[in-house]
Amino acid sequence: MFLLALTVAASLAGAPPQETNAPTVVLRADHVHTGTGAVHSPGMVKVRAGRIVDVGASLNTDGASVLELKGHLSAGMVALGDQTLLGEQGVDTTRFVLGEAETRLGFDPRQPAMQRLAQEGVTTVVLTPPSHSLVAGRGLIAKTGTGRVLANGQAMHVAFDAEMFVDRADPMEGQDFGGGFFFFFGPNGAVNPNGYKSSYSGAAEVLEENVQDPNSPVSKIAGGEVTAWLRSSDRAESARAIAFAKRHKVQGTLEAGPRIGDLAAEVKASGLGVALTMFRETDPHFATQSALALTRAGVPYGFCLSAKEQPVASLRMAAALCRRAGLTADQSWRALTSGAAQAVGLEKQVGALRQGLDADLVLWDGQPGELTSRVLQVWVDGQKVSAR
Amino acid sequence: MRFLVKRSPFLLAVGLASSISTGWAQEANGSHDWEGSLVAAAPSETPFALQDGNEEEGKPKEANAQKDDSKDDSKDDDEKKSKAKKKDKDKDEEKPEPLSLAAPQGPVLYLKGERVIVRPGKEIENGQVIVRDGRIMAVGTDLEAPEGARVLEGAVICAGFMDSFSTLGLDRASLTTSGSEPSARTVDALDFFGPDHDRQNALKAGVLVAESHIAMNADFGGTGVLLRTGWAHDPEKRLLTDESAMWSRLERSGNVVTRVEEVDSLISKLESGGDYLKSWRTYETKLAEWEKEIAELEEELEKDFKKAKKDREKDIEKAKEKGKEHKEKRHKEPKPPRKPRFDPDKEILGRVIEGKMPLVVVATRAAVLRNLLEATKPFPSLRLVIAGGDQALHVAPELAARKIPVMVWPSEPLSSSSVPSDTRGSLELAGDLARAGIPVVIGSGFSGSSAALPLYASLAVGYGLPEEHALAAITTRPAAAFGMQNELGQVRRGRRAELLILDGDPLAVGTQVQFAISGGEVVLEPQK
Repeated sequence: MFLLALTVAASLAGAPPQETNAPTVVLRADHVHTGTGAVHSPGMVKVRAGRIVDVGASLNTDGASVLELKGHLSAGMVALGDQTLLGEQGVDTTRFVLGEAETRLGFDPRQPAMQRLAQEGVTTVVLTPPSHSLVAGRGLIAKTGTGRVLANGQAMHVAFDAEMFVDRADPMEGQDFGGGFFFFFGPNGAVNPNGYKSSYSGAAEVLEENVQDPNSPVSKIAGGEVTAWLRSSDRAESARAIAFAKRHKVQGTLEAGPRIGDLAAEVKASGLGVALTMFRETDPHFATQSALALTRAGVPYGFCLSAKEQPVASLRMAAALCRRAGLTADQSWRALTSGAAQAVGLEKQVGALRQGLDADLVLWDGQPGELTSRVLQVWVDGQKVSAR
Repeated sequence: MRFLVKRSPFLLAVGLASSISTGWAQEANGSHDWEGSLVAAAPSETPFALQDGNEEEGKPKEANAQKDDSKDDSKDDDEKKSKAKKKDKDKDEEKPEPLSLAAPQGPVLYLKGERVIVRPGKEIENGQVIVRDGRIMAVGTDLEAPEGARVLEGAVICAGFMDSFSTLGLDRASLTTSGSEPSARTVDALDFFGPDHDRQNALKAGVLVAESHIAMNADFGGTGVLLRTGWAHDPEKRLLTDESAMWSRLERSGNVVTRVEEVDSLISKLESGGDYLKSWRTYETKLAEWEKEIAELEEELEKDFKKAKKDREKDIEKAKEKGKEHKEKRHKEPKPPRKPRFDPDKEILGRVIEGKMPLVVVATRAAVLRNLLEATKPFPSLRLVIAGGDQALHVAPELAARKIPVMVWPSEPLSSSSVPSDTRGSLELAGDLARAGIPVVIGSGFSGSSAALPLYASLAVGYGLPEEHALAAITTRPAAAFGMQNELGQVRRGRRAELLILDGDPLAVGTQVQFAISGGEVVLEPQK
């Protein structure tokens, strides 16, 4: 049974815990997997004020309390593209462009799914609004266990997939002529009666207007002042998203479906990271081949997870399937940690055991990438949040 | 493999009683087309006891042997049993001797592995396995390669994985239909010419045997099959059995009263099946008596034939004299017994309740499981398997006491609106179930994939199932659950050669199947 010590104190405010005279703790484990290729057996991780001070086979422990741990110590995992944790907060079917929206205002860090993520070794989760809008506003990145919302992870969410046309409030509702048909299938670029675009090209037109309008918050993604989360699912949508990113020098993450591997070179050229949408073990072929292609092209990527609808283990299952398809243990582990962090621009904050990164640590009873391994203890920002 | 008894009225009428005492017993043993002595070489073993890992190989527990044989329901099995014990003593150490003097059917294989996993919990280091005639001929550490044998080498040799709940070979409509009858047979619905990549992927992942069945939403979905994934296009080899188990789905209604009735109806149908078989047996006995009686009468007539003929001639003459018509003497014959009406549904359910094939019940709710356990108590020979069983922990003591296996599979993505987000899938319960003493079997399930079965087993370890149990859950336990414990699931002399050579631990994520051997032949090997 888990004993969860959920600490939601002042850390919720957004700033990482900063104490000048914070105590130093050295965690000494049988194996320390740095996530940067090295494994120290045994190894040590020095933590102060929620940050990793040093990692190595043998560290100076003067003035520090030493914690002896049995097992394998690794960085916490990073889950991308969770559409479920914000619940209905992000759904607005009345407006097509929600540039000002900030989903962090509707985020509940105390929900059970956040605890479950922590218990299973996911320490950072990237939340996306489950939106049916073209622009869904700013998403957020949160730490599980403590619920801390990261200050620099609020990407602007832009849709390139057909989801944005689904469930929109029908302006013709109650009227007795067939507006529904034109609402969904009107000619490209058509404006439906209340002003929403109802096709890809119409949506693209609205997006271009917003990006070029200096008064629109959406314009900040051009040039990379604000990072973007470009949501696509099939290959044509991903191609459009990549072209858009190139055109406006957008930085950020491309959420993409199983065929994104076909565009690996284009993604690499665009500088975007990739969030592979969840794929199931029933049909992993294209998704795993895409993971291989992205790895070969040197594109950082991670996997999406919907924590309220799937077991957290689906994340590790995705990596395991990629491993069976040909990734090395190291490569598949990176997709769960540093690769995913890099895909959302957090490589200098989470995803590995390295000096200066957040002290998000997971103690396993076996190799971190193995499905047979179990999480024994979890630390987020240096605080123990879960222990078996 | 051929069955002695098919579901045919002719055979039933001809030899039901005898089939029951011998044919089905052999079927349960899985010993059809195999020489008696070799079958005997495979000792009976407790299907679910992993704790017997430290048991001396040569001395099978008396109780275990008893238990298995009681399942087989065969009275004339004593002879075999004693042979089994005799053979068992010198098993493994035995030198490979030709099983028959005839030339081998198919290739002879000589496998070498750094680890030979005989069964979960028992391993041989640097061992060899000899395969001939589709069977494992020898397992040991100092075996020499037979002349002309093909030599295969690898890190780990283990039994092929078995998916106890797959959807292979069937289209979606056949799978989900609720309009089925107990006598429906999955073998008739198999589509070997449909899309094939699922089967190929399963084979690549080392899943060599898969249980498939139609109509998972029916009260009685009919009998399932055990497929060999390595032999899709060979009509003889692709089926291990066409009667793996009877599947029954409970909880088809959201109404609690209906759910109670479901259990009652299940039991009463099974009972009527039992009665039906009894009525056939009574008929058989009476028919035999009648035939005997008739034969005796005929004999009597035969004996007195000359006298009877003379008497008749006299009678005819007398009648002529009197100018009357001659009346033939009538012999009073006993009436033949009345034949019961043939009912394929009742017949198959009768066989289920008599334990000739397992009954897999798909149910999750504690209340339903409790009802089911209570209602099945009076039928000790019924071989019950619970599938799903999300709330099986609530009835754990009884399941453990009766050694009823619980089949688990990965949960489907839960719909957040109808189920609380923290509901666990039954695969996640594997560890808790095992701790409660319940034998756990892992299947890929309706929404899973056979190719991911070994990964599910690994995941179950991550959920707290001990590694040996996890491996057992995809090898020995499914074999036992489907009555194939003497045929599949272990690397032992006499078992069918359904084997894998792996490049690493069976439950490690990065492990690849190097060679797969099915039906004694290499069905998968590295492509050059």
